[in-house]
Amino acid sequence: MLWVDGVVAGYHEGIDVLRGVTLRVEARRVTAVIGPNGAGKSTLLRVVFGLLAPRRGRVVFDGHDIQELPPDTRKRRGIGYVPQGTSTFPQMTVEETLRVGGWTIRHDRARLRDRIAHVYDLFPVLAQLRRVRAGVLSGGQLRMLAIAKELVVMPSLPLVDEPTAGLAPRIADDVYRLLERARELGIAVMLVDQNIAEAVALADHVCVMALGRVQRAGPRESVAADLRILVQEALIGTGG
Amino acid sequence: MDATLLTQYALAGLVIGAIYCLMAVGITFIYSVMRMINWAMGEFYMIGGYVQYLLIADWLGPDRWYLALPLAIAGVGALGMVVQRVLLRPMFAGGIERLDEYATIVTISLTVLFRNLAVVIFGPYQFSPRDYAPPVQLGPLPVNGSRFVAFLGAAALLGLFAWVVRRTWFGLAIRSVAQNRVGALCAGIDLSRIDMLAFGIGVALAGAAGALLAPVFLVYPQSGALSTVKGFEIIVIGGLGSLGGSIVGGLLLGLVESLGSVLISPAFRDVYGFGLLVLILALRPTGLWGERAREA
Amino acid sequence: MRPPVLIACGLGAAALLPLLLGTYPIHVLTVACYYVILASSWNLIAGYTGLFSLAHHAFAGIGAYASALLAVRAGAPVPAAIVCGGLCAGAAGYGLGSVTLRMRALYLALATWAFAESARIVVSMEYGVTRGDLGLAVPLLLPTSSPRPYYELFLVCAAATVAGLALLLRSRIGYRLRAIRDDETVARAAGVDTVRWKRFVFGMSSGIAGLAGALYGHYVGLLSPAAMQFDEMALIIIMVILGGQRTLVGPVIGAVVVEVASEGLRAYGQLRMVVFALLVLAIMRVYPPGLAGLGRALWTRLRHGQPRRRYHRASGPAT
Repeated sequence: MLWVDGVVAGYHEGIDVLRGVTLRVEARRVTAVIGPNGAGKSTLLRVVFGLLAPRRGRVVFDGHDIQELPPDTRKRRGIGYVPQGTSTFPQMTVEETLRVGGWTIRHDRARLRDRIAHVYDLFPVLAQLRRVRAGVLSGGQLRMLAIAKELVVMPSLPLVDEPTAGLAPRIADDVYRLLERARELGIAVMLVDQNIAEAVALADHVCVMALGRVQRAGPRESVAADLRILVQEALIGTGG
Repeated sequence: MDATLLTQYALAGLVIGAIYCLMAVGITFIYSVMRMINWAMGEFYMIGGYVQYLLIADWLGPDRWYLALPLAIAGVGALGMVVQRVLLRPMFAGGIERLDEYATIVTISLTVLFRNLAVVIFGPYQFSPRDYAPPVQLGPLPVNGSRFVAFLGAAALLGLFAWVVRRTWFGLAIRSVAQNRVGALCAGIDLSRIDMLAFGIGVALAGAAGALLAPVFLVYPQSGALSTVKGFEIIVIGGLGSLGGSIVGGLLLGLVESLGSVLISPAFRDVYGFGLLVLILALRPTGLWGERAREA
Repeated sequence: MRPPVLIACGLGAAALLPLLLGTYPIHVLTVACYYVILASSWNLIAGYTGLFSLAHHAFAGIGAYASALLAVRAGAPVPAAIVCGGLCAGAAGYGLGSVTLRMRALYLALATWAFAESARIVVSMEYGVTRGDLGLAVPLLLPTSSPRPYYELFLVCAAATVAGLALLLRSRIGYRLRAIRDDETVARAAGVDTVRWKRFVFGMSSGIAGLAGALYGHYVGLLSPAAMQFDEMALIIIMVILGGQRTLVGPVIGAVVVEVASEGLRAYGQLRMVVFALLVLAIMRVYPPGLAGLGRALWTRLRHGQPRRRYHRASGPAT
C-alpha cells in the first residue's frame, strides 16, 4: 500500500535527516517504526504526509506516486496524520473538533453524522465530553481526541507519531488497545514510537531506523527475539 | 453639562466606534490566522474609499451608493487576496527565517506603495461622494445621515462576519487554522487557501470602513494614515488576537474620543485614544483581552 | 587593493567632492550622510540584534528637538546642545528598551510604533514649547550658510558611525548581540545577559540617531514634527532593505542611493516612492541580500577571474 523508495530528506540546506529510507507498509497491518532519537522517524512520517518534500527518492501510495500532492490531497486519498504534540484546538469543543476532522467529507452530511457517531462508539469517554472545550481536557483525553479526530474520515493509512508520549501507563494502554481495534477495522497503521516493547507487541511488521536509514525490517517475530538489544541500542544510540 | 448633550456625544462616539471596530477586527482577524500584523490596513481603507467614490461618480451614480458598497468591498477583498498570494504566501513555504520581520517590511512597503500610487494616479485632492442619506432623528438627537448608514453597515458586516465565523464550515476551518495550524492541516484543510481568504476578508473589512465613511471623512491619499492609527490603538487596548476585544476596544475608543472632545477639548480629539493606549500599555501591555505574551 | 585602503581612498575622494560639485549636490550628499547614520544605527538594532524597532525616526526627532530647545530656550552653546540632544535620545531609547524587554517581535513593533506616534503628537501639541507645526527656528552649528563645511562634518560623522559600528560588531559585544538575534533563549542559556545588552543596544542606537537628528536640525535651521511621521521610518526601512540588511555597507549604499535618486528624480514626484516600494517588495520576495549582496556577488566574480592570486596566497608563509 505504501512504498517509500530511497527517500533522502532534511530540513536545512546540506543536512540530510533521512539518508535513503526504503520500506513498505502493507494494508491491514500495523507497521511500527522504532529507533533512537534523531533517527528520522518523525521526519519520515512528515515526508509521507507531505509536510516535507524529499530531496531524492519517492513515495508511492496505492500504486501512485504522490510526490506532487499537497497534504490536504493526500488526506483525501486516505493518509491520516496524528503528529507529536498537540493537534487539537484549545477553544473548540470535542464535537466541533470532530467536525473539523470530518472536513473532507463535510458535504455528505449523512455520512459525516454516521462517522462521528461511530467515533463516539470507539471513544465512549469523548462521547461524554461532547460539549467540553479541548482546552480543559486532560492529557490522555486530548490524545484520544487527536486520534479520534483523524479516524472520523477513516483513513486507510493513519500515520501515528508517538501517541503515548507523556501519558500515564494506564492511558497509554487504552491508546494501544485503540490502535489494535484500528487494525481489526482493516486499517494499515504506521506507528512511530519510543515505547519499543509496546510498539513491537502491537505490530505485525517492524522497521528499525537509525541515523536516517532503515537498519532492519521484518515481521514481528523476527525482531521480538532481539528486543533487549534493540532497547539497549535505542537508549545508548548506535554509536558512530 | 447637560445629560442630553452628553448622551448625544456618547451616541456619536459609539457610531464612530462601530466603524473603528471594522478596522480592528480586520487587523486582529488577519493576525489570528496568519500570525502577522498588516501595517497597510489603513491603505486598504483608503482604497475602499476610492473605489466607492469612483463607482458612484463614474458609473452607478450617487443614488445607487448601496450597490457600489458591496462592489467596493469585494474589490478590496480581491486585491487583498492577490497581495497575499504574491507577497505573503512565501512566508509559509519555508525558506524565510524571520517571519515577523518579513511581514512587517512587506506591509510597510505596501503602505508607501499605495499611498504614493494614489497621489500619482488621482493627485493629492480630496474627493467626497454625496451623503448617503439625509440626517436621521434618533429620538431627540439628530445624527448625520452618512454616519448613521455607516453605523448600520458596520453593524451588519460585523454581524455577518460573526455568523460566518461561528456557524459555517468555512468559519470552522478558519477557527481551526487560528488555533492550531498543524491540526487543521492534518484534517485536510488547505492552509494556503485559508490564509488567502482570511487576508482578503480582513482587508475587505477595512475597505468597507473606507467605503462607508467616504462621505464623512473624505477620500484622499493620506486617509489611510489615521485609520491605521485608530486600528492599532484599538488593538493595543483590546488585545491582539481577540475579536471581542477589538469590538469592545473600538466602541471604547469612539466613546473616549467623543466624550473627550466635549468634556475637555475638541482640538485633541485624536489624542485621547493615545492617552488610553499609553495607559493600557503601561498597565497591561497585551491589552484588555489579549493573549498572554510569552517571554521573547 | 585591500579593503581598508580602498575605503580610505573612497573617503578621501568623497571629501574632495565639494571642489567638483555645486552647492545643491553637496547639500544632497550631506542629507545622504545624515541618512547613512540613521540607517546604520537602525541596522544595528534591527538587523544585527533582531529588535525590529519602529521608533528610530522618533529618536532622531527627540534628539533634534531636545538640542534645539536647549539652544533656543536655555541659551546653551550649540555643540553642547547637540551632545545633550543625543544623550536625551539615548536615555529615551534605553527607557523604551527596558519597557519592551519581554515583548515578542510583533508586540515590540506595536509598542515602539505607539511610542513614536506619541512622541510626535506630544511635540506637535506642545506648541507653547516647540511651536508645533509652525516650525521651530534653530540656530546653526557653523557660522556659514554654505553646505560645504557641513558636508565634511557629516561625512566624518557618517564614517565614524560606520567605523564605530564595525568595531562594535566585531567585538564580543557584537557577538552577544547577534546571539540575541539568532535565538534569545539560547543566548540567555549560554550566559549572555540579554537584559543588559538589549537595553544597551536600544540606548546606543537611539543615542546615535538623536545625535544625527540634532546635527541635522542645526544644519537645516528649521524643525517640524512632520519629520517624526511614520513616513520617515518607512524611508529608513526602505534604505536598509534596498542596501542590504545585516551588512555594514548595506545601509550606506541604501541611504546614498535612495537619497540621491530621490533628489535626482524630483521631477517624477511621488512616483519615486512607488518605485522604491516596488523595489523593496521585489528584494524581499526575490533577492533579500539587496544591493550589497549584488555588489558582493560581482566582487567575487571579479576575484574568481584571477585564480593565480589564490595560488600565490596558498604558497605564501604559513599563518
